[in-house]
Order: sequence, then C-alpha cells, then structure tokens
Amino acid sequence: MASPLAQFEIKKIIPMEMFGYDISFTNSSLAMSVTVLTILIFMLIGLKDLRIVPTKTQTIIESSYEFIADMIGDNIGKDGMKYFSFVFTLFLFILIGNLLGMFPYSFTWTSHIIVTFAISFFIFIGVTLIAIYKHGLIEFLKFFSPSGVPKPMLLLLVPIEIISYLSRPISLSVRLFANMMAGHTLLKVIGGFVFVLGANSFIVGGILPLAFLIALTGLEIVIAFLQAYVFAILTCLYINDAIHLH
Amino acid sequence: MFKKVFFSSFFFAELVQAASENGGMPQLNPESFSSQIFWLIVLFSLLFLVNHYIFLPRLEKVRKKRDEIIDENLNEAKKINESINSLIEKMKKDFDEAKNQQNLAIKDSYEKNKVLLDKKIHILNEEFENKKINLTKSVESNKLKILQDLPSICVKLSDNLYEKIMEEKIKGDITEFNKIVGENSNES
Repeated sequence: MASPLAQFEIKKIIPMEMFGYDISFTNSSLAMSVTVLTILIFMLIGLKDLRIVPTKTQTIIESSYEFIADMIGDNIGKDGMKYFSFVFTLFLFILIGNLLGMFPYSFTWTSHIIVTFAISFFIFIGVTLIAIYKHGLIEFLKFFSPSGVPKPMLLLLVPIEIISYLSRPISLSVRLFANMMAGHTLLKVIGGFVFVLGANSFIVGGILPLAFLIALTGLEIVIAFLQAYVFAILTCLYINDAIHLH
Repeated sequence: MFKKVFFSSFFFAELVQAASENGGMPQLNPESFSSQIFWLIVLFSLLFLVNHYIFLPRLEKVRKKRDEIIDENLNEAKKINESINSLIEKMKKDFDEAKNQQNLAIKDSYEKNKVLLDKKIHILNEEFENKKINLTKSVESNKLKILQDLPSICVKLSDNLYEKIMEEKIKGDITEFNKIVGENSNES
C-alpha cells in the first residue's frame, strides 16, 4: 500500500523551464488553477447580472464580502479597507484550495510548506514595507522596543520582539501547512484501516473506521474553513500592526 | 533582518533536502519549489487582479446602489410619516375647533331660544289674561241680560201653561209678576 505521504507527491504534467528554473505545470499547479477557476466561475455566475435584490449565488458572494469586511473593520478599522481586495482574495484562495483538497483523488496545494511559506513571506514583506512607508524606518524600529520598559530589560526584550516578528511568516505558514498535511495524512491512514480491516474481516471490521473516517472528513472540512479564517485574520492583525504600530 | 530570513531559509532548505532524500515528506523536496512558487505567484496575481479590478468594484457599486435605495426609501417613509403626523395634528386641531364651535353654537342657540320662549310665554300669558277678562265680562253681561229677560220669559211661560190648562188665552202683566216675585223674594 502507498505511504500516507504519497498523496502529497508532486508530479509534473507539462515540463517547463524559465531562466534555468523549473516552472513545470504540476498536479499542485493544476489544483491551484482549479481553485482559481472555481472562484472565478463562481464570481462570474454570481456577479453576472448584479441585482439590488440578490440571487442565491450573489448572496453567498455578498456574505463572504461582508464577512471579510467585518473582519477588517474589527481588526484594522476603516483604514484597512484599502487592503480589502487582498484579504478577500487570500481568504477565498485558501478556503477553496482547502475545500477542493477534500475531494478524493484531488490535490491539496495548501499542504505544501513552500506554498504557504511563500504566501506568508509575501505578506510579511508587504506588511513590513507598509509599516516603513507609513511611519518611516526609525519609527518602525521603535516597534521592537516596548515603551515604558527599563533600559536593562530592553537587552532582553528587543531580541525577543525581533525574533517574534521574524517568526511570524514561519508560524503563519506552518500552521496552515501542518494542519492540512496532518489532516490529510490522518484521513489516508484511517482510510487504510478501513481497507485492511474490511478486507480481513469480510467488511465488518471496516465499518467502525469508516464511521470514524466520515466524522474526520467533517472535522477536516471545518478545519479547512477555520485555517483559511485564521490565515486571513492573522493577515489582518499584521496589517493592523503595520498601520497603527502600537 | 532580511538577510537573517534569507539565511535561515537556506538552512531550512538544506535540512529539508536531507529529509526528503530519505523518502520522507514530498513537501520538503526542493526540486518542486521553484515551479510551485512560480504558479502561486501567477495564479494568485491573476485572481487578485480580476477580483480587484473587475468583480469587487462591481459588487461595491451594487451594494452602494442598494444602500442608496434603502436610504431613499427610508427618507421617503420618514417624510410620509411626518406628513401623516402633521395631518393627524391638523385633524385634532380641527376637531377641537369644531367641538368648541359646536359648544358655542349650542350655548348661543340655547340662549336665543330661551329669550324666544320667554317672549312667547309672556305673550301667551297676556292673551290668556285678556281672554279671561273678556270672558268674565261676557258672563257678567249675559247674566244681566238673563236677569232682565227672566220676568218676560216667566210671564210667557205662565201664559202658555195657563192656556194649556184652561184653554183660554190671557196676557200676563210683567209689573204684577215683578210684584209677586219681589214679594216672594222679599219673604225668602
């Protein structure tokens, strides 16, 4: 039987190369394209003929719009609406990526650390640039020295602040990647149980792990939503830090 | 700071390569990193640009329009409400005024009628008094007339009676009758 990690293997579909770098279209790229296409088609259907009294699809899109708008309003404030498109796209991208990964035989691109790390690294760079652009380099550096702390303590606190700031992209990316990978690995392992136990006991033994598998699938769907939400809300918090520099 | 991240990621990549060579997690195989990052950038940028420039502005437009319509309707409803309230107030005012006028009219007509009634009663009383006087007068005159006529009628009656009984016509004398009646009346 294949290893539970085999589902994460990257297979090249169309080999490509640019400036000596491999940019092959892989199964991961395919899954990502399907995600983007799904979102685009859904938006296209929902926003085809916009109505004052919305259709069902338009209602779904508008509720996700409101969901993100509320998130930004609560965590950043009115200045945050500039970054609405980004957070909205990011949330939908990760959410649909996670959910489409729940289909059997599909591929979960969010379970790849390099993808999540790239996203969070871009966010990290972007947020840092926003902070420096808005407040200047010196004000930004003051962010690492909490006010009202005795000077000797700063020796300890500044490195801690810097490390915590630098570890943001890592924690953000590892959270999503680890959740998705662990979930899918677990599903695969339990799925293996269903098969092995069922085959050895005339199906009967497979029933319990199957029930467990179904319950876990439900849990995974919740996690798929939750992780997208956490990713989006942490992005909001980082943007808020950049704009308001407490 | 960026250098640190850069170096740490390199360090990370080396660790990762070692792990993937042992047949571990495919996620840690750096061979696919460049292609994954490339397609991530391409596809996410595409989605972001389409959302940012096409879909979200349209959505915002329609939401704005909806808010405007809602505001308009609310304002209209408020205006209508206000006009209804002013109408109700006006109605109340008119009603009160009408009530006052009604009361005044009732009072006025009552007083007018009272005066009229008093006048009529007075006139009636006067008429009644006049009639009473007239009646008394006529009774008195009739009484006198009867008293004057009574002797002649009595004489005629006695003549008739005599004629019936005695079958002989006579003609009585009023002066004689008066004498008798006067004597009798004196006796009685």
